[in-house]
Amino acid sequence: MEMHSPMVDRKDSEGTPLPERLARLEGDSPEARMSRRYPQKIRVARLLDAEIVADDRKVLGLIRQVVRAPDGKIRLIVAYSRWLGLFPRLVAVPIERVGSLGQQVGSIDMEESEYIAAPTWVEGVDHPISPDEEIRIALAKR
Amino acid sequence: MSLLRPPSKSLFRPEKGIDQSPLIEYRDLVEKIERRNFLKGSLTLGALSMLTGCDVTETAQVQTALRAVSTWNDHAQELIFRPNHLAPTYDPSQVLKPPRFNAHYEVEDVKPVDAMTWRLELFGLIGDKQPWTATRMFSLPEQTMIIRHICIEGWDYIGEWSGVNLRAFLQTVGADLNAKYVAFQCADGYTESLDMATALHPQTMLALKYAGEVLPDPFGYPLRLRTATKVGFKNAKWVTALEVTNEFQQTYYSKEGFNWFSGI
Repeated sequence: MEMHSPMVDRKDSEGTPLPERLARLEGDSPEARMSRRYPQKIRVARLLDAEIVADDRKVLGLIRQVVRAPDGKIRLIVAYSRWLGLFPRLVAVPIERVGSLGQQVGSIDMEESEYIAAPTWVEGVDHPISPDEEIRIALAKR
Repeated sequence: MSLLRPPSKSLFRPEKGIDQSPLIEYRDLVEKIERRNFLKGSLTLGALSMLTGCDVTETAQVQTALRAVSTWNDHAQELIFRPNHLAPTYDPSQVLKPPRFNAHYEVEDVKPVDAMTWRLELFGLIGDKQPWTATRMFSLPEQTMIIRHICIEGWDYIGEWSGVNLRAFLQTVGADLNAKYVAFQCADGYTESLDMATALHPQTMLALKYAGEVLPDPFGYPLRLRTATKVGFKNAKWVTALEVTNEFQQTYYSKEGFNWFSGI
């Protein structure tokens, strides 16, 4: 009987061995940076209502929805509030610019000033992703 | 007569107030303690002044005194450790996926280990020191535990770990279970060690999987230590060597001044 050997031939969700994919995505694009942060599978349901936090641990808002834009990119729809959760408005945050911090999500490549400047997201062209679906999110560290 | 009056002068209040100069002089040192921001506040002049007989402006003296307290703390923790007392376990629905990444460097700097060439090397008081391949490790009986990971930084999560029970592994390789320590070396240069009682605890394992899947690279693939009775940093990742010994060896974080025992 052939012994199960799960350490052999591990590949990512695209079927590409990790080192090759890293080499292919060298550069400083958000996608390349996300790729270097070892994206992991996560159920969309786990992201809903999770806090999104800045580098200084300030809670920027709560993730209300996860959507796929017409170009295929995934966006977190964050109820961003400038002051203590008051008067929130929805802002679309690219998945490439955040990282998982366990129960929270770190806004690792998006400063608060960009939340302030971002247009308010409105329903329309983006397609909501089912809470049961699995997507990939980078890892982050504080 | 006014009912308001200034507070009574304390018998213990210094005549000229508290000398702030050590705090100013050692500001850089205090700010370097990044892993434990919450401890910044405790490293105050008041805390330092508790070190009776020490001149708080003498770094060597302060460090020696703090290390003595830390060593005493280790001994006390060893003394009260219950070798067969189980840590709480949890329901699979509580498992955090993915788990939280932690290391003394950024996730981008993780260097994946090639399991095809990886070997677990054995040293010290062990009968059979033949290195173990990953395939051979995966062939051993598997234990699963859902436990809380508690980081010294103040965060925690519930995780599901599967792998080889460390006691069973040590018995398999003919280790001296009466030795004092089991030490670990890792692919990234990290070092860690356990007291033998913790190594033999039923909830200490050489973990190979998380949540039923092979460990992802940032979480220690192909093999890491996982024990339910220690804080997070004791759980060495990317383990490449194991030594059973009676000699205490300083570890990556004990050299930095962290408690070596670090029990929960």
